[in-house]
Amino acid sequence: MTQYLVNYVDQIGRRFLSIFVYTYKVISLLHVATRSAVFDQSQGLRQIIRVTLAQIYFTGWQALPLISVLAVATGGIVIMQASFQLSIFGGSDIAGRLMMAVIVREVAPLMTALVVIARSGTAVASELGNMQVNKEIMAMESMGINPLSYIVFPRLLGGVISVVSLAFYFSLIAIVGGYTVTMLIHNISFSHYLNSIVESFQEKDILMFFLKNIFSGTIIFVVSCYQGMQVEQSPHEVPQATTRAVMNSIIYVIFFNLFLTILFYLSELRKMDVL
Amino acid sequence: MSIIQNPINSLEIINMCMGFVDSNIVVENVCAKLPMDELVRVCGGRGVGKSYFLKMLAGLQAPISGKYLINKKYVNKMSFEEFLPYRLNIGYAFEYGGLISNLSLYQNLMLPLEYHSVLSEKDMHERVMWYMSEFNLVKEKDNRPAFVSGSMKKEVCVLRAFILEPEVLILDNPTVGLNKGNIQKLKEIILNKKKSGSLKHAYIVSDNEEFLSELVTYDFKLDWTLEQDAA
Repeated sequence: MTQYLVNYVDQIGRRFLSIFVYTYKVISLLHVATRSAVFDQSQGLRQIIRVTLAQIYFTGWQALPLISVLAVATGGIVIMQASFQLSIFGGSDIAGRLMMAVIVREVAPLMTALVVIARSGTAVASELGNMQVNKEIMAMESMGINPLSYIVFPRLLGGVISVVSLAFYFSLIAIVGGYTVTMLIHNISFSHYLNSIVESFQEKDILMFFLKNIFSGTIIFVVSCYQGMQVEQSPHEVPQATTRAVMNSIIYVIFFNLFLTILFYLSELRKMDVL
Repeated sequence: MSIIQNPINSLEIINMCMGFVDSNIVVENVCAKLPMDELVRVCGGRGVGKSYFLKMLAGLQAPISGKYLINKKYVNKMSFEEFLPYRLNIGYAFEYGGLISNLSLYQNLMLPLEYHSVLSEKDMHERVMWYMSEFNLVKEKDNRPAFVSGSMKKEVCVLRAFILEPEVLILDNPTVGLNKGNIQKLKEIILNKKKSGSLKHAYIVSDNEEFLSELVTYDFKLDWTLEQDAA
């Protein structure tokens, strides 16, 4: 029994240790990629900008239709549910505030991150994995091209810009589109709705918005690049690396979002002297 | 030229152990000085580690232990940036693979020139087109590697080693898949560059006797039982 318990504790300890080691390695990749892109004097800036723009096109621009549909649907559902539920208790005037709290602070960053993981995280991990198998990364090194500044950093930069832009677009479409969808079913005043949103807007929301989305973008693309670079020789490793990239990105993004939300609401409660 | 290509005067390995961690060790505790100012054929039996050795010479693979010295400087301890001036003076061609799959053949050859801003746009284009026309690749220049034949891929891969005009050339089975005419052209390019002085040292692994005849000036045997001092 004691031995069983010891083994169990040992397993848990090893699991936690592996999580810390993995996190350390991912952060190290972020550090060296950024450092090599900023300080490597020999790099071709034009090439790096070209790769960054391509990443913005694939991650940001091409995701707009999917994000639009999701945003309208989410916005519509939240407003319809809110206006219906709140009207029972006579509080339909806070629908806008609820929209701000649910969509802009929580759903937009999370939904955007999940869409980007599904579309671009997988693409980046499998692309880099295939590049490793085909010796393309080694070929770049042989040409004096630093893979960290030419492959990792532009994808990271392009990815972060795309995630922030997509989350902003999601919020906007959810607010406007959601209202429009709701208008088809029952009438609520737009000015009233908009006033409610503007009134609930705080300066902290800007900070939260950028923190959540910049970090989500960073997590998704560093984890995906890391997993892609872990592929060594066999094409069989590519789907495994892609799966791991998706799983780890989702876990890290959700935990990070949850952590920030908790911090935000703790500070709110403190402001209200509840804590 | 905005890039710095450090001249390479000596290549040396000391107590080197080559192989793959967690699997087989190919060689242990080897010391050798590489012949310089020669066109060298690196020869040895199957599985002796010729490709691994060439990758190590190009700074693409670190030995498990021991030292690899260029100009008496310890390569293993150099950062990417520190090794770059040497790397830019080494042209390396893979045995298989190595072309960037989402770039056309032309872009593959342009990439190192554009990245390092070596020449003006016009000169870069001219240099790439010269190599492509020598090997009849102009028609296929806008195709990606997946859409051309294996021999064309191999030719581009070999030509890319020449594109920065390095002093050191490392070719891993460069003639595999090439037709006789292109093998002859490749041989002529190497000999012309050696004659003009732009190419100083070449290390070639190949079984093609026709290609190697009248080309190589030195045989470097990967006979790891003996210490080699050919310099």
